[in-house]
Amino acid sequence: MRPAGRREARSRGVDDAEADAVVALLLFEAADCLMAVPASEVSRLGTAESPAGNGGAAGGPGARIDLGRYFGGHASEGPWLQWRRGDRRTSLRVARVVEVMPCSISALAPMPALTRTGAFMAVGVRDDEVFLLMDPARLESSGDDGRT
Amino acid sequence: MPSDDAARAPSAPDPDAILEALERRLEQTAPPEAERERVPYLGFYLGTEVYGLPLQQLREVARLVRLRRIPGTPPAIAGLVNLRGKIVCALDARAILGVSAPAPAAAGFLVALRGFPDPLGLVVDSIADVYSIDPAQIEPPPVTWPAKRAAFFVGTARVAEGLMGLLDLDRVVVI
Repeated sequence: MRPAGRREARSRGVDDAEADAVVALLLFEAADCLMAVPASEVSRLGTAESPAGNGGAAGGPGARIDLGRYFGGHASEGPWLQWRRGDRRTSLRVARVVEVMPCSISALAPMPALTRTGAFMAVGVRDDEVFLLMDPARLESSGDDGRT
Repeated sequence: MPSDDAARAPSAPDPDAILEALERRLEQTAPPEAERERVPYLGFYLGTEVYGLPLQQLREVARLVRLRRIPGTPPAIAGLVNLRGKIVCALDARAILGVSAPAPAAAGFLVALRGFPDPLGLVVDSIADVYSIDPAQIEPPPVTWPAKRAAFFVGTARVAEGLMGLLDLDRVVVI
């Protein structure tokens, strides 16, 4: 086996560093599931009555998505999260905010092939419970999907 | 010069007799041909019916705890389970096989499967037994079964609990 070159070693070091990186995740319940988004992408928490904000969202301006209804269940009755990535913003209504917890990227696993639905990037574990890491940018914008 | 010892030595055994004795011992220690070919199956219940999977296709069996469903997935996907740190995609055997009998109140079992790229498991109601099945006993699914249902089975075998449907995992897992 040939020895690793400097560039290869540096690349592997970067990969290792990324895998060991810890991100803060905001965990919440919605649609009878435990879900999470990077806490750094949540700019505000709104009350149940007042969405956290709107404008320039993934599906168009003013997008507000009730995740309970979006995933085919009953409407959520919890707070709104304002999710923001670059100039994209979407307000997400959830059933309950659980906590913000640190999570090593290496502790996350890709979604199993049979369960890839588009909305979720990875799975992780909190206190023996599985949570789904959501990418709000992937929430589809068309149809009667719980947008309000 | 022949000695008295030589005279007292037992006569040399007949080679054919040795071979016969060896064969008799082999017959006594080795299982009969049919026994050697038997395949162990795990039997489990869905409703009142018993189904079977070869043990060699299974990784383990565990009580089903903390199953988390995944929004947007088909009914055949029961959800995800944390099985000692490994996240297993749990398939709903009832939904896949169209079992309409009411599910038991108690949590079922997760039968973790072997041989798939992602960790996979099958959610079942309860465990019946381990059966040693002679392949010669396996019969085709009854003609009364709908073709769509029969396609999930390699055959059936008669066990104490009734007719056990032997699942074809490759067809069960392609959802």
